[in-house]
Amino acid sequence: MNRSASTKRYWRSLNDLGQTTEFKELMANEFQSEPEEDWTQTSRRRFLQLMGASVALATASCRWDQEKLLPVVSRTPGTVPGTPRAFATILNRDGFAEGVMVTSFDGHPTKIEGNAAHPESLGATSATAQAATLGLYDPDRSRSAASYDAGVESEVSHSACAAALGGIQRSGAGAKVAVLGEPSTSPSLARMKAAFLKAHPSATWVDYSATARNAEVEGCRLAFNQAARPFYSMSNAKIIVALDDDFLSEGPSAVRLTRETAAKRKPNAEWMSRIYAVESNFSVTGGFADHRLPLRSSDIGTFVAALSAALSGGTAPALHAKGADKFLAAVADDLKHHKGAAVITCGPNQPAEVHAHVAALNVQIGALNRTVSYLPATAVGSSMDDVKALVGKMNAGEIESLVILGGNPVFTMPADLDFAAALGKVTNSMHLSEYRDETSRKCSWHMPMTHDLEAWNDGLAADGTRSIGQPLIAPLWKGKSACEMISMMLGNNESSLDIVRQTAGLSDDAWHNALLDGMVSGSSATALKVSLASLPDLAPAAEGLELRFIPHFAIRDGRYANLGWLQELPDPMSKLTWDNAALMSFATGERLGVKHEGMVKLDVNGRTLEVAVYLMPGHADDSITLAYGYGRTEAGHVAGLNDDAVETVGFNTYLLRGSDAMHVTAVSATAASGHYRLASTQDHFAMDAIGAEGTQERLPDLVKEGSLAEFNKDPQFAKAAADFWGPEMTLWKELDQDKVTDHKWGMSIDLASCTGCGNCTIACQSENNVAVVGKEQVLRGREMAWIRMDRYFLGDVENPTAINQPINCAHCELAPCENVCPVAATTHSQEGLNDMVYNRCIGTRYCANNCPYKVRRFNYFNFNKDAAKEGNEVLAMAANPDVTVRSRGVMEKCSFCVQRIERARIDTRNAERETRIQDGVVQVACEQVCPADAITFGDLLDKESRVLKTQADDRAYKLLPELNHKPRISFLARVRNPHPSLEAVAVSEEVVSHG
Amino acid sequence: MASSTSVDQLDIFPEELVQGENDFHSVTEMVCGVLEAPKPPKSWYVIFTTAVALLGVLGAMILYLITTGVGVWGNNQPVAWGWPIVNFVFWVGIGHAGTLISAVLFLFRQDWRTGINRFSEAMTIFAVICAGMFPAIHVGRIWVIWWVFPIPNQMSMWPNFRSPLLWDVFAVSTYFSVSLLFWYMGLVPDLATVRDRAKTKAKKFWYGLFAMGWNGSNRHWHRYERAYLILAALATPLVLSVHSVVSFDFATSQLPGWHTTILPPYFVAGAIFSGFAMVLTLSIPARKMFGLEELITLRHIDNMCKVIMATGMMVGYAYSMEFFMAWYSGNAYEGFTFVNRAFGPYWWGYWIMVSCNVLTPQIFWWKKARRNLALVFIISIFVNIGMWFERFVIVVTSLNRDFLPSSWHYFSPTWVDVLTLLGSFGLFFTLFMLFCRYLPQVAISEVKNVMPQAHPHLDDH
Repeated sequence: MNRSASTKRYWRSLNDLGQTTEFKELMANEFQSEPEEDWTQTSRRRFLQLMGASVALATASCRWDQEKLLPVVSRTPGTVPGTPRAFATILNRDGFAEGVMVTSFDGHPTKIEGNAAHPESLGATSATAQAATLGLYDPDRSRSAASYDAGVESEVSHSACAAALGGIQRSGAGAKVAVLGEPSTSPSLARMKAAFLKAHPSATWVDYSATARNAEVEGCRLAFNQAARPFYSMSNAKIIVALDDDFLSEGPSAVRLTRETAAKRKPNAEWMSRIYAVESNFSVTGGFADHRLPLRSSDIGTFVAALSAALSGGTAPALHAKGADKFLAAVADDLKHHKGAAVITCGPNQPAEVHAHVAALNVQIGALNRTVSYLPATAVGSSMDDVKALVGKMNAGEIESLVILGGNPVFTMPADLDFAAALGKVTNSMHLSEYRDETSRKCSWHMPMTHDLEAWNDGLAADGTRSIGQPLIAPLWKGKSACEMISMMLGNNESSLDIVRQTAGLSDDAWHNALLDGMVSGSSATALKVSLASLPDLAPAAEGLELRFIPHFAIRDGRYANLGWLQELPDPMSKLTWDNAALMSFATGERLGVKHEGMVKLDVNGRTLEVAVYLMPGHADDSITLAYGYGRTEAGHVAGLNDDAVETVGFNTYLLRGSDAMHVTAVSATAASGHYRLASTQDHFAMDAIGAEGTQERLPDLVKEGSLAEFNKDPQFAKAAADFWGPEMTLWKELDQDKVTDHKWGMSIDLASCTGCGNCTIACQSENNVAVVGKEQVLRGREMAWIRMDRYFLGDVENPTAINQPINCAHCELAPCENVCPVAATTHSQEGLNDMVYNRCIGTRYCANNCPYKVRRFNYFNFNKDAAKEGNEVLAMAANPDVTVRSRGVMEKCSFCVQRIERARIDTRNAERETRIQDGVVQVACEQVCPADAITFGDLLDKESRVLKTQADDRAYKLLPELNHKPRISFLARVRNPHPSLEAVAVSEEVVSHG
Repeated sequence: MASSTSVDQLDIFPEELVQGENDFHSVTEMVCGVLEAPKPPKSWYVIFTTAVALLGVLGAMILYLITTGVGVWGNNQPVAWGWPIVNFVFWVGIGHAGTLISAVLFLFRQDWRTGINRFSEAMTIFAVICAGMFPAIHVGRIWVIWWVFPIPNQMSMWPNFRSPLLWDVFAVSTYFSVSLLFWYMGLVPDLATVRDRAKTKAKKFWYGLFAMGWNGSNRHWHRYERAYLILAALATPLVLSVHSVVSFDFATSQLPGWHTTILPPYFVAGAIFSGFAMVLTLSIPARKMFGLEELITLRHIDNMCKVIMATGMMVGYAYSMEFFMAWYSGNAYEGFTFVNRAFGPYWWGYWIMVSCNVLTPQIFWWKKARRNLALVFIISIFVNIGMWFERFVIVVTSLNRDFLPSSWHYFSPTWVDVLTLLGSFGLFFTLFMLFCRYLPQVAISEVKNVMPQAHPHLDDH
């Protein structure tokens, strides 16, 4: 670079500048107290030079990290960052496929919805499906493979774990190899299993599940000499008789059956069905039925025999239950008069012989292929003999390698088999599992398993539809699916995509469609041709106290114990959270000398367990119902973790369950000392006489129901005087409803359709980031559910009826909560929404006091602390990004899913440039998940909207209209269809103390 | 010092307001002697240390509350307001006696007020401080509590003027400021007295500062009396309005048991009732401790008991009216609420309330009872217990069981609730003990005004 001595030189570059003598002098003279130059005399040139120096100094001194930001030149088609997309997939429900549509935000799933096109989903899902995202992001999931040596856990790499499978690969015929899986309808799993057994013909393969519904398969085998499962179709059923069968809530078809059954409960339709339930515990189906008979599970066989005698003559055995004869006569009468339009269902707790006889009865009443058909049996577990044989081999030391695919057999296997001890005798065991649970810790190796949402999988729905599941996210913790595991065992390393694709055997187009639909359309199974064989005799009913084992409605066999949403979802009838309990009738409790929340010691063949007592109205006498799935010790930080001293939640029913009697067993019970607090969201304490009286007095005004005869006489029987009042004077200037032009959001809830399942509660929780508060807080009454399911009993405590009412914010036009907030944190939108402004709320809680429905929930603590703990960051991914997570000290409540309304508004404007959101575009979370289609949301200004029609229905009434707050929710009164010979239980009758 | 008298006076002449052989100077000596004593009585130390300890407990509880959340209390759904609001109404109610004695009795020219008005006005101010604390700490997010004040802000948001809670903010702050002004103004001549008698430089300075250069001249007295009258007139409606506004927190809601027009007069009567009881609870020991029996005489005690009886009977009438209206209205929810109060899960609270508020004051029909200091002291405590339970019954039982039975849930307090309430007494008594020690407990100038020596040409003296 040329340098001249002259100072009057333009600098061409900053480097230049840096080399000038001037500059060097300037640098040397750090502190220029006396300016070298008089600025007023400076020439322009000099000035620029000096200014340039400052720039140079500035740039010389500021160095920042150089980052290269490269914008995406072409975006993945169809994606806009921050907008959700929906993908169809499947979730595993007791081995069957549940078709779902999953909402995905920026590549991670956040919400499960039903798949409207799927015949078994019809747009709705089960409660456990709603918690799938929480399960996916559970921080307690296993994050890497592990090995266990004398109980000491060490993290190992996947490859090390996979290498351990080498022994199996080389085992030849595989006599010393065993695989323990779970019953599944997955064609891919079946194919891999077949391939494995082909490669190792002597290997033992057993499929075990605690919740397997094998009795009905056995029953079909007895009745028709074919292994089949009954497939009910309630759309044609005018008479439904449920025998120990909670078909609205249990079973792979529960969602579809709820839809079909509820659809036939409209009193103004052509016909309305009549439902009878004969059961021990008060179930959802029993609550929904027109008539219910409390009868021990052990006596159902006798009932079937009596019914058979009534239908075809013969001597009827005596039924000892109160009112049973009258009940039976009505059932028989109805079945006789509705041949071809009636059905009898039988629950999974009944022995195979009873199933067989029920199948025969169904044929007799002409139900075959009208209301019930028989499909090839799928997801059939191994027989108990096979299971015992495996355990026998393990105990004899004959098994060197055991691979357990999923499940948790150490926890769920029958107690008499002592699977944990047998596992100890296996040289090399490996557990493929999502959690390092009770089984993993007793094995030699643990491999993390992919969640349903992380892997490709397939399955059959209950109707046989071939359903395909695509992953919504790459495996978070590099887990493997069961199919991938088997592939590894075979020495291959196929991905789940390859396996499922190959099994599907579809052309590219068909595959693409299958992925879009989540299923192969039109692939439902064809009904089998069946003919009755000769039936075995029914065993005489066992006398004495019986114990019934049922899967917990949400926790299932225990696999979902660590999901807080499911722990806190109240049991539909008992409203219990965070615990299981021995449910029994009041009379039985009195006989045993136990009180509600007392303790009872149960003894089944020498195996004992002390359990808390819950006195259940309507429970059959001499019967105890105990749900399994609780009492886990290695579930995680929510349900129990011995390592971290996390208390076990609930009682381990499996300690009582023996292989000889997996469903119903004889038991002896003695009162035990102690008081156990049960966290129930309703009936938090035993109701006193005053409370019971008060409840009785007002229930007819709150939850309205009437008989079909009453409805026919006066279709508007449910409307109160106040429903007809015109507009009343108010103190404040009201929003002129006539001037509202955009939308007028409203909702209707049909109590005739609502079964009380509570799926709305958990769907709302998932959609709106509603916090889990834990047992202690539920005991204090601080549960956060935005929509709760109220359940009331009517009648005497021995045999009451039940009625349900979902309650959420009614977005009253004259909301009592809005006036009283001192800082105007809750305001009314132009479209009728009562908006809760979290960031303005200071938490005085006056709004909650003034709400007559008590739908407002306050954040008494920071209930989201867990997500901030180290290691729990993944939990935040379960949250819906469109909804604020509320902090401590603010009030929250149902917002009519305002985020969905806004999204719909944006989409409508972008797409059609008009602002009216069409009816049905916005589906609020509770509405979308409801299997019964009981909730309707929409725009009351839209003349074609469904909600306008339902709110104008004869049965529609408002809750507490006399308070003049003008709620936007209408309830449609429930109508029962009682048999003329049986008493129609009117709502005005006496209410039981568990109100 | 004259000895205390407990002998009945003949009713021929109205009982002397200042007992014993007292003149202006001895009155000054009596009152100022308390401040000027080198050491306060031992009992003062005992009470003061206990109070400061409880104040510390209060501080700890508030810190725990603010750092952890409102959940440390027993509040739940549906009982979103629990002990803190009960305590708030309790303390605010207590304050009303002071204002009534100071302002209302002044306008009614009840001379007997002079022995106790300074005392009770101080009690009012400290009670309002305790009261005001509770709504502030009971909110979920105390760090933004300033949003209730109508301060122009960057959000362009005013508070919601339709909310009774906001009227509370104005009512209680007005009450506090007016009471403070009134009390302070009345103190000025007495502070000047203390200043003039002060022996140490520090005392002279501080009392002098707050005496604001009072020199006892005619002009000063004239202005003083004018201002006193104006403030009394301003404070009088507050006696009725403040607790009425507090009652609006409940009366304007929809809850059965709250939503009733009887609440404002009922609350005001109850406030005066509990306030007088608290004055008695404080003055009976204080007059003994500090040797003021000749200024706070049995006649004062007697009159206060009469007020208690009168307001107690008003409160009792209100209870029966509530029941009557609940039945007469035919409203099932309303009727249930009252039956539930008396016979439901909180029946014990209800009957404590009735027996303490309605039954126990009936003993004051007998003059002997009104003059029996031990009995009066005990009854006054019962009255306050009863009044706390009244607020508890109103707040908790109405919330606990309202319209939908599914939301019914029992409320039980936590240890934090209990310690916070005890702590508030600590705050109250700390301030009160400081008042007793450092400020003239009796209105010297006003008492002198009602002594015979002040009216040499009246009476046959």
